[in-house]
Amino acid sequence: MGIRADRAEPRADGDFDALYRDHRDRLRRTAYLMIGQAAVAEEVVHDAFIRVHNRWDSIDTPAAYLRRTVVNLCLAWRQRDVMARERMPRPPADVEMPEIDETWGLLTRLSQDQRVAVVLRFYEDLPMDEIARVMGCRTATVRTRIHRALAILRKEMTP
Amino acid sequence: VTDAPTPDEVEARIRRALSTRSGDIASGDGAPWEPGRPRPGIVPFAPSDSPRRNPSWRTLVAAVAALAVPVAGGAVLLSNDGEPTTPPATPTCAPLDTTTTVPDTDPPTTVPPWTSDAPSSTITVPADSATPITTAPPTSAAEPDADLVTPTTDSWIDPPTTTGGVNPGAGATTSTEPCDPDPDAEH
Repeated sequence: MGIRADRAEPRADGDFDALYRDHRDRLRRTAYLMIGQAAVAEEVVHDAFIRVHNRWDSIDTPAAYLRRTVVNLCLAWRQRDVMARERMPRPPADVEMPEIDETWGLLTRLSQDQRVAVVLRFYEDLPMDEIARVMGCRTATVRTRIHRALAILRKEMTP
Repeated sequence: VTDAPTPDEVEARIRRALSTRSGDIASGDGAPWEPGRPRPGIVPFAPSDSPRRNPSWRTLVAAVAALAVPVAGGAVLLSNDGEPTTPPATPTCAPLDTTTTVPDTDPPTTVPPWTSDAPSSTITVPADSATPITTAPPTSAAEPDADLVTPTTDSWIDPPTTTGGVNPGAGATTSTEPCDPDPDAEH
């Protein structure tokens, strides 16, 4: 993952179309699981695609760059949203299976870093080192976040 | 003996919850997501490379003023809404050259310089006048957006780099630390 300024040949626009088709839906879901709001997730993913498009000829691995951009935008959005969430009334509980509702509710109460790490690990099935690259931190930090998140969830979950 | 679920059970519940709730987001065509089915045709968003901006009214007024002021001797007026107006009287731009006369009884038909039919650098004078009044092309017309401060998108596109390398997307945050350096790490 990274940007290089000396790419010999510009990448074809068709590759961007393929990237969009292949990753858009998956990233929308990932962003939704990190944020919890579908509309915001949609906006974040499109914002990430625009950023990738603007750097299209200088990005080595667009898919990885795209995913990292989405994760960073989700983290940034949640930082701004913390205050709003604390002051807004809680939405009515979704009607799902009780276990799903309970687990989803517990996931929303994790810290943003823990939640992002959990989503990348258990939804995207990324290895620890890849999660560390995406989140821009060390692998040990990712392990710690996931370990703490699992401990919190295990403690709060009903048997 | 504890009532808490085992770590494997916790992990399985998380996977089930994430998989189930991901179904809240429909595919591009609005249908539920089914991994095995072909992806729907999606028209990707393609931002233009160089978005054009219409010149502001200030630019237009500046261009008109650059043309009209030398001709009308500064008689160009601006109405309240910014539209340039000229007094109905005969233009006061008669050249000082005594060989060229402007008849008082037959005011010339002057094409406003901002209309598309008018030549950009020549103002029509009466037919009996042998000397057309030419003005230098306005500099603002050559650079229609010269007075515009066009924001460059690089300022928010460029992701700040972390010590580990590129950190795309982190530019949107107000924090100076785009990716948090282990706020809850155990060390």
